[in-house]
Amino acid sequence: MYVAENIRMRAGAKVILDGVSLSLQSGKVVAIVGPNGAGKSSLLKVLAGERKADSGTVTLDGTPLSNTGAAALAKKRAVLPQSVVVAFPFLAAEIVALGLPQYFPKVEGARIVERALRGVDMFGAREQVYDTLSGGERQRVQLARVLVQLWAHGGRGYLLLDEPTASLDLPHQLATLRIAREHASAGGGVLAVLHDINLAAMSADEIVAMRDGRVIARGTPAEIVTDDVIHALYGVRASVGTAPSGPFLLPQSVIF
Amino acid sequence: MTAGDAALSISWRRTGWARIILVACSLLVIIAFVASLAIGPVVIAPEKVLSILWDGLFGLRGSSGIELRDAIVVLDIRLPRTVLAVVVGAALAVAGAVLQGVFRNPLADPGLVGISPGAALAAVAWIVFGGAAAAYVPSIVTNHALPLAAFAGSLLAIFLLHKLATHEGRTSVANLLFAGIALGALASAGTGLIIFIASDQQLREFTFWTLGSLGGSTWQRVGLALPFVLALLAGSFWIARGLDALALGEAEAFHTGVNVEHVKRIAIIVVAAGVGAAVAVSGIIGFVGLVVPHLLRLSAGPSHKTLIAGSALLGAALLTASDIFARTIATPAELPIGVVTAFIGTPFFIWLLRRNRRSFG
Repeated sequence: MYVAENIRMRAGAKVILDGVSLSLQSGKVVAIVGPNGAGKSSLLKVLAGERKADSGTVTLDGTPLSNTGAAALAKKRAVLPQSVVVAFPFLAAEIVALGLPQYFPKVEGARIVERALRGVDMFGAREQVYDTLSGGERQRVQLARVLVQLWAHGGRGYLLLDEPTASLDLPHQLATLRIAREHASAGGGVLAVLHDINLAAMSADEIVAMRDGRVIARGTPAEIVTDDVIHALYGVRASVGTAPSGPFLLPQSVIF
Repeated sequence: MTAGDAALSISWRRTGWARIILVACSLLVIIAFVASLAIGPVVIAPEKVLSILWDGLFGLRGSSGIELRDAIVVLDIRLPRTVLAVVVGAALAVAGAVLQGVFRNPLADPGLVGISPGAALAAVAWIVFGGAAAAYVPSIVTNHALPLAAFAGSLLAIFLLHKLATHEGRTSVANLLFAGIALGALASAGTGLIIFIASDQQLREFTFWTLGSLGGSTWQRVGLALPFVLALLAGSFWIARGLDALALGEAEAFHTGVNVEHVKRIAIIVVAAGVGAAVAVSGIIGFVGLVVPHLLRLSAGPSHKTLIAGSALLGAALLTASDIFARTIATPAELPIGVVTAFIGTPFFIWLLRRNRRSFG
């Protein structure tokens, strides 16, 4: 279990995170939603161990993050950043293979890399130079790399995804969220920062709503995607409807 | 096709190709090595060179006067110089490859970004002022004082470069080049000043430190440089995988389990050691560290294990070939070898800059 307690962080005078607590269990998909600058990405960086909070603790399966080295952390959690610029002309498959640990059986490694590439629908582009791919294709290659990292260590562990659907077309948005769900079903945990409320409502077990560095609401999609919470979150009135799949937000009726 | 076959057929287009490139580079080193022993004021046939080398292994030096002369030319005059060219060429190319990996930027060359000039300044300072200090340091240090001083100079230069050019884990090409040019100019000015103060006689050595030369190579110089260069090679292979991950970015490399600070620290120390040793024995030779890794990335791919092995080989071959050119083109005079590498490297650098103008931001 991933547990963050009372995380506080500031950058200069600006408060980025103001006492955020959050827990992520295996088998669950948790979505973080909120307006720009709410502190979602910063929270993800603290959970990833990339940035240190000014106060508060993060524990991963009972061990404080501050006591865990990079290699040990990599066995338990993988991180998909918003976008990755690669410095040299690596091929898509080479990027995905960077998710493997340094000394990993070759045949087994190739099999995992292939499975991940097929999973994100990028197997056909495996020999293309990463830089020549479109934004959405790059994002899918990175997702494959992140999956490989967890699969190489048994396939559980936690996926931290920062806007994994941002540059994807609709079918690949759905495919990405399906991959997240499959990972949770296989015994892993998923935490995803999502901008699209509807995608969050569709795919998450729990939604955490953040604003101004604080969690203002958390609960099931039905509890979060309501007129009141959406108004408190974004300061806009929106129309929430209900579909068989759950609640949805109608963008046309958002009035600025 | 079974699943297993499919898995094995995946992508590794490059592994096979990379092997061919490495074999080709090895052949180039052997050709350049033999050519360098064969070519000079006295031209000796390659098969003769090989037999002299073979006999030399057993301490034999031929019986007739001409055989003895050829043996002396090959074993005593050309061999140390050729071995030094191999060692220095490998060091400069590998240092370039590692430096580029750490800065995530293909334009980082030890000469271009001020590291070699920093080493040269420290080496010159030691030569001019070191005599006074020698009394206070243990002899184990004074025996290796010149490469150690150059090592200290290059270490300081890389440290400053990193401080000046990198902001929050990112190095823009403009910052890197500006900082490098400033450091290089400052170090060169310092070197000029020290040599100016020193004496008229040492003035002639000025070209050695600014344009490089393998003239006057001895086994002693080879012995001075070799441990540092071996440290560079060992350290580079050790962090090769970490450098691959670093291409994703520092945060991303950390996510995949790489101790980024550790990789950077090793890279900086071994690059400083290799460049310091190279400069201590041959002055500033530019562009080898720029041209060689880039050619290998184009042909064998950017994976650092191949890149480092290939850079060592191709760097050795290129510098050996450049040295043959430098010492034969204007006989009996010698061209500074840095002039030769600059003539090869500068057009290449400009081409690289133009080609990547947009993506280097």
